[in-house]
Amino acid sequence: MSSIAATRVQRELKDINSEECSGQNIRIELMNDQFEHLKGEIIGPPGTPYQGGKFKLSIHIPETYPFNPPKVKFETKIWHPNISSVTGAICLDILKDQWAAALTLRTVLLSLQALLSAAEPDDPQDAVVAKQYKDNNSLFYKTAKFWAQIYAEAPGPTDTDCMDKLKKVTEMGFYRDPSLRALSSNSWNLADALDNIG
Amino acid sequence: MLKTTHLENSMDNNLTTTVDAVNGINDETVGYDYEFIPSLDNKYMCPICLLALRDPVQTECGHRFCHLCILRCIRSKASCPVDQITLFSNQLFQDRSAHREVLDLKAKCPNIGCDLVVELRNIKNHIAKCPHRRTPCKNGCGLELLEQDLVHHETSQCPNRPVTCPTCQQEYAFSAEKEHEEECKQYEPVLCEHCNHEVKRYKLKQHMSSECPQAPIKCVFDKVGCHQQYPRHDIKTHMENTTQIHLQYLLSFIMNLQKQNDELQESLKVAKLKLDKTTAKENESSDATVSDRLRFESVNISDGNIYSPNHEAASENDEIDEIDRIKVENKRREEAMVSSASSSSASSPLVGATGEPLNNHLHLTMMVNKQTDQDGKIVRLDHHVRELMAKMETQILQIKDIQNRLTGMEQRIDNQELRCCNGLYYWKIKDYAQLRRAACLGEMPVLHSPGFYTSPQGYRMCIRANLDGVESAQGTHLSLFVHLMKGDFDDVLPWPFCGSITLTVINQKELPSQRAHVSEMLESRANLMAFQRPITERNQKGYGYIDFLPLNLIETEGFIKSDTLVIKAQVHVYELSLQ
Repeated sequence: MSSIAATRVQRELKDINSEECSGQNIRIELMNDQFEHLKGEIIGPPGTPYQGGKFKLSIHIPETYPFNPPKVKFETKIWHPNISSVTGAICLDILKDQWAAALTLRTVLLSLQALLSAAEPDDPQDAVVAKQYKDNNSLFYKTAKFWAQIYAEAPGPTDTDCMDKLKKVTEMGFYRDPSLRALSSNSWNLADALDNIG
Repeated sequence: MLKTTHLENSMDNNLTTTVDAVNGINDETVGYDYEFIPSLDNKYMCPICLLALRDPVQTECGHRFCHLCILRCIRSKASCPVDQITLFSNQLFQDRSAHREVLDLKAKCPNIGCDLVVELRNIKNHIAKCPHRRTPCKNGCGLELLEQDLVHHETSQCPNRPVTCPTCQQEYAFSAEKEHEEECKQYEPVLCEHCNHEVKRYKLKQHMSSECPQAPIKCVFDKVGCHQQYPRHDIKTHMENTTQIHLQYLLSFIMNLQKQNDELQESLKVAKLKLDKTTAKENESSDATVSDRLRFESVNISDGNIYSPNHEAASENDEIDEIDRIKVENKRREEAMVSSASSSSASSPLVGATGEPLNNHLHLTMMVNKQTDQDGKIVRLDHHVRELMAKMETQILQIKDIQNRLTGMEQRIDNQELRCCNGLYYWKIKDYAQLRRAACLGEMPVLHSPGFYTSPQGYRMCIRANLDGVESAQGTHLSLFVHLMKGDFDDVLPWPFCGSITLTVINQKELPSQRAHVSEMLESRANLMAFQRPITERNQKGYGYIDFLPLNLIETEGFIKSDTLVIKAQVHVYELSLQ
């Protein structure tokens, strides 16, 4: 890794972990000494279905950082129109063509937090989620909240209807993740979900 | 001349940094990395490296950056990294005021234990003389120490400090003591099991085999039968006391030898006798051979059946017939001889003597026969080989003809492709390793791609690659340029060429997600020779990057696959003058 990228990441880590940023509910830590691979965490913003959830991110710093954007994706599964519910890949302009060298990991994480507050269903990463968001927003809210509780330790009582259906499918011998995805993608209709389980 | 063309890309105003510095990576190419007192104000912080501005420049949109940081940045994307407004290198201005202010900032000495805060302009001088500066231990243990502690550490604390072994006088690292002890055991004294004397371990073997008075050794008469062992100092007494016994051993040994000798003599005699007999027989038979051969040939001629070497089908039947015929002939001859012998009233032993050569006759005729047969076969095969060779030559000619026509066709297809690629051209450089070597040796420093068209009726241009770099990037970077070429539609096209060209070196790693292509976009400039209408087949001047990609990355970062480098050029023509 070039020393430019390494010194810059080092510098950013110093800033992000200083007291200034402690109130912003974001965290970044190193995975190895080379500053190539980092782990990030953002807390789901209040007033959203993700409220209080801890969403882990994997961050890869390219050799050409900061002249090229870092490669960021969600490690924690999340139900969001701009984030793939399968791979965690993120659709966000500043991680692609709108990246600028003056942006930092901190700004990236804050932008992701903002993305959780304000989804952009017209520029989706996950078409199924985006369709649900537009067609049946309350169902989307319920699903996203349930996912946050299952995967991101979001607080609050879980939806009993969702939990029962998930239990039913898993008891048939299916794994939890594909079961939950099938239910979520099929408007929590048990029969449809079973037909389309992947 | 070339150099000025290439450098126009980055030399603007009075900013005199070379392209190499933009690519080069060391501490001096980013901002000042110190702790400032008070902490660094944002207006003095470069938004790219997040450090204190080094050689600050200001953009037209009013943002400050380190000079090298912003040059690197706009190379990949021509916009201000803060507000995304389009930004070219000619829109950067040296900010001398900020430069002075940054150098006035107070920085803390980075050495642990030194609390000195000095102006940034003086900090380098201070660090060089700082009493708290650390020097690396010369034993290579990795520690860095203060000057005053260094000697003590290097001589009595460092795990790598050299120690002299009291036993063998050799030097070894303190941490390797155990390993050395193991090695040194060879020098340790041990007791000889026979004489109880102290001997160094590595000398023990030698001691036992040639010195130790107690070590058991064999009597010299061991080979003739005295198989006992005695301590070395007793062996003399043994020799003196047992002379008689030793003599007896010797006597029986000699007797045995004599017996063997007699046996050998006997068998030699028998062998000699046999040899004499055979030589006699051979002499007789060789006399007979000559006459027999003459006879055999005359028989062949009289039969009118001369064995021709060109005879087509010498089947086994023929051969058998031939042998039968010779057998009959021989029998007849034998009878004739017997009768002549009896008529001349010769003694009976003579009959026996003539009988044996007759068998030899038969054998020889067969041999001669076989030989002739083989000669025939060889001639036939030779004939066959000649025919095949003639056939092959005609076929080679045909293949050459076909190959010529094929290359012609391929060329036509290539030309068609080059014309219809619409400015998106992939150039595959095969045999990269060999070409790179040729470039290093200076045999073939430059490669040109075939000329491709920006549209079927558009500009024609080619990519030029210096695989070992050129000018200041020689040996360090791959250099890529674009050269305009004479095309079929130059007369109707607007000149100079106006458009953008994106050059990309394609990364060919196994996983598509890991393929980090290296791409640079360049804009044409009306005032450059490189973009004027070509008056030669290919414009002398090109435009591009002398330092497109570090050479070491090409091989290590997956840009080569199957020994092939792939370069992509994408050309957009701005059709302003046509509207």
